[in-house]
Amino acid sequence: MTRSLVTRCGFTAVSALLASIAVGEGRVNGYVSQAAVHTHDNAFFEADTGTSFNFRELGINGSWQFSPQVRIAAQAVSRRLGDLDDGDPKLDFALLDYHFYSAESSNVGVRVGRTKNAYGIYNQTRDVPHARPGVLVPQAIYFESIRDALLSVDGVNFYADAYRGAGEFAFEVYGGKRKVEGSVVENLMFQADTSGDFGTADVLGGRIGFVPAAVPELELAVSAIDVKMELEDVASFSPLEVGQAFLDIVANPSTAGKYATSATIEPFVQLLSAQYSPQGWVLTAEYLRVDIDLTNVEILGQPQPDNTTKLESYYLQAEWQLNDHLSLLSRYEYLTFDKTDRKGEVYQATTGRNAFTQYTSGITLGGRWYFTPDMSLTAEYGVFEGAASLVGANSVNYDQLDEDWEVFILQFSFHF
Amino acid sequence: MPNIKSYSVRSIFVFLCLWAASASPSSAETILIMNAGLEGEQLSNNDLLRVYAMKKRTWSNGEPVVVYTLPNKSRQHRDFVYNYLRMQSHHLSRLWHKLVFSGTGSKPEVVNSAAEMLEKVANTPGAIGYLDGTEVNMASQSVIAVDAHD
Repeated sequence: MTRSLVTRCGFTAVSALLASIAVGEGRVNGYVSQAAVHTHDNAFFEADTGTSFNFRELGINGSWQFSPQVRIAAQAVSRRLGDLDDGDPKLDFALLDYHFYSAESSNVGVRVGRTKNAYGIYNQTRDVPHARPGVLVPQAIYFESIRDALLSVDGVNFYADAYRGAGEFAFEVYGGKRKVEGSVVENLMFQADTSGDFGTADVLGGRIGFVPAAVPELELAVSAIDVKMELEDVASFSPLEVGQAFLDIVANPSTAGKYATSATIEPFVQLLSAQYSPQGWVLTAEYLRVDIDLTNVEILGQPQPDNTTKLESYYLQAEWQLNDHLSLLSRYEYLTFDKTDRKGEVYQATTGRNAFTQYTSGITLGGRWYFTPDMSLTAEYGVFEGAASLVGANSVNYDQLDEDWEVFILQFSFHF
Repeated sequence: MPNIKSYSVRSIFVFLCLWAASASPSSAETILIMNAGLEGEQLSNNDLLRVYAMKKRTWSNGEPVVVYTLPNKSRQHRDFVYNYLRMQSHHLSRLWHKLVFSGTGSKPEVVNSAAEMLEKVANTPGAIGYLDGTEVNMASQSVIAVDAHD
């Protein structure tokens, strides 16, 4: 219901935008990217290693400022990411922005519709090639398996900022519903595609940012999001199927997740961010903690104990703009799905599944060549231990993932 | 020589910015200009940064801030960003991308020459921009050159 309403409003907004653009009042922007990915240990969100060109992005948006207070904006995005995202066009955002109070040093407003969540440094522009530090956003924080639940909401977003002697404070609070595509959450929790779906997330989040007046190159932020997802549309199993499933689980305990008939997941996401950008440099660090409560779990109708896990991750990143054409990137990142089981050993012992899927640490080195400020070629090489950041796609055989892997990516991108 | 506008020239103050004077020679001619209606507006370095980051939306006289920029390919733009805003132009572009592609704001309107910049700033209430003072005859338009300070 909510989705169809938002989609309808979105297409109405898009039509209004096209009309405004036709009469020269609106603005249109967009981007396009194409990447080549080379792997030889673990494939990158695909079934097979080797060289793949199944990575491209296309985005187009329009905005129309009716008055200093009222603006509408909408964006459609197509993203092909291996087998994880098929490139079908999606309505990325479609919103009405009512900026009802604006004074010399403070602003207050509200956005309604589908809005991107203010979360950390990169969430809102994670799909925009030139807004990213390299080919990819740091995977330890912005990993694919929680992307959908955190990307945007169909709901309301309040914002306010105030510039005082100490510096600039910016607040955002948002809430609403979010459709979760595919089986990424099932793959994250069970590494199996269950008969049901974590189809909808209830999302409530906020972000507080601060830029000190004494050091305007520094931005600090705290973000938090509470997400709740329930397993919906679960198949009913006949007694015969239950018997077969039971034998399957006894023979291979790692298949149990496939037969989940009920589950509620409630991740509480907490992110600290810092970015310091003195001339020519951008230094960024973020630290993430997610408390994941798994409750109401039933396997074939049999209640299972509740479970809480604490995910932890962080990265440290340096970008250096040498001149107008060349920038260099280096990053160290670390991610564990369970900070009490950093190497996944307990996970492997209890589920029989691959311990390497529970953590990632690694180094990325890259460079970007700007042919013009809007057209660039980015090269990135990453060497990793652990494959937690690769969890997401259905086609991946998670039990076969190696601990040590490398990836080389070349990406062309253009903005207009 | 640019046309003299039909309405009266309210005020003309031309100061070379202290920053520009102390910065690299290539930017020595970069002048920050504002619509004449903004005379008396106090603009600190941080204010200027907030203006070009599209965060400051209203002037002290209540007029909406209207920001103009030269194309990001131009030498003048890169010099302005580097010397006045103290950042790389790619980083400023990234801030603008964040606004445009998240739906939370707009980037400045791009003008293609110093003459166009002068005309736009002179004729738009609340407008701010920058240009190479050697390329146009500033005295012909109702703009004020700004001395940004801490």
